[in-house]
Amino acid sequence: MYYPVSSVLIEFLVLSMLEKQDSYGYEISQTVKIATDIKESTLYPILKKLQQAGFVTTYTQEYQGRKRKYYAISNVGREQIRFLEQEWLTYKKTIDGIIEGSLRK
Amino acid sequence: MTRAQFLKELEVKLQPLSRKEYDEAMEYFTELFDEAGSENEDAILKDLGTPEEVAKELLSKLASTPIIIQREQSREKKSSFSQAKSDFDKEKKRIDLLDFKRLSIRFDTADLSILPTNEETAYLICDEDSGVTIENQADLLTIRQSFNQKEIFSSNFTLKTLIQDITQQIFLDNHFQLYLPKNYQQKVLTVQLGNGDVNLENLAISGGTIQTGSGDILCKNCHLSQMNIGAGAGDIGLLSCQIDKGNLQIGSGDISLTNSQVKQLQIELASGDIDCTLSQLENLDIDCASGDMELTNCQFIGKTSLTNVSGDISFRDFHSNANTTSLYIETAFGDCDTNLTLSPNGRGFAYHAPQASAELHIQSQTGDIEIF
Repeated sequence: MYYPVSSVLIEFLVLSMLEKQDSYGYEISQTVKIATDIKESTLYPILKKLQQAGFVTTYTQEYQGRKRKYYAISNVGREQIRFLEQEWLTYKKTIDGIIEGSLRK
Repeated sequence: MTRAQFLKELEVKLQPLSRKEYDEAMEYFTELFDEAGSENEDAILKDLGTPEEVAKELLSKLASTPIIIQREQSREKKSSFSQAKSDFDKEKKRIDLLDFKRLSIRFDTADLSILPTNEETAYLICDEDSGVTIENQADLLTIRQSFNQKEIFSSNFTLKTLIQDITQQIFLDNHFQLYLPKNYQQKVLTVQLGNGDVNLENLAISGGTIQTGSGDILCKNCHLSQMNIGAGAGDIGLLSCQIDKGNLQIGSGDISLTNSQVKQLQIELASGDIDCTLSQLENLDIDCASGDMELTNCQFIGKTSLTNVSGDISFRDFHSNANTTSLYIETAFGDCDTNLTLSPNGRGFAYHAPQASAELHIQSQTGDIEIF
């Protein structure tokens, strides 16, 4: 896609994904890549940051004889989603407003 | 490039991370390959970019955040009993530095720590009465601090002033902290200290000189390119560093190189010892007069040459290199002890690795050589 996706927006995408269902690195990266051409090396620090902030927790589970690290959302993470959602709606409304001409100084 | 090559290279490049950060990152990238499956290996390799690019981004984003000095805190320390204020509790001041292309630091007696900051410009933290002067000429910024001899060796000079004042100047109040922004990589840094120590952490520096008289130099988690580092009587320690091109010179101190990656480095020692552990060594030249060399669990790439006059040279855990590293050994009067099969070669011996991609030239005049 043409428009760049900021790391804050990626945090929002990841948290939203995890709110629906726990997920693992590869699935998360493949999903985020639908929206933006992100590098793994960019995504990984974002996942770490979400962990450090306490928004996301991890656990390991066996899958086809090997270990898979799952990411799950925490309660603080859910609160963060509400905040990010609000910010996203405001942002979207503002951008649309300017594009459509209803918003002007 | 294959999955194995990618992960192997990433392993080396991520060494500067803390153990935990390193393990987690390696697990993450290994898992990605597992999940993608061998049929998608090429696609994921293309997606990832080179191991260098991945490591560069991870190191810049994950490396532990630097300590941020809080000026306010040190201010609060000031007690109302200011007269009784101990010398240990000296007030610190912050000096913001103008932008520069080259920075030169010359201290007689002070220690210096160079650390990264998230701020935009460089600054210096020092004692309120440190006697530091800063000159700015064109693009060159010079910071000086000198031992104030006039004051001390004045007419009323007594043994008491000698003990109190001089020791105080030397041992107590002279520790400077220089904070450099992370984007200052393109600047040239020259540090010259008399008897102080230099401590460098979590920084990438391309170009410059660090020289001490009797102080030690310690670099931790640094990326150094085009650097000349020298110590007279002090020791030099490099821990988890990447050295792209450089020169190390030391008089009587020792050198230790641990968990580091060397691309091109020349080391000269007089009477000190050198110790390399768990490092990847590429195009390394070590020239030693009377010290010993010990290389433990190192990996060799390209041509490495070790020359010693009277010290011993010993390798531990060399077996992991036996497949790829050929040896050329010459000793005039020393013994050579190894479990490898050596064949006569010119004036010495040689070991031909089955898949030779690296060469190790070892020369010792009177010292012994041990390779196991």
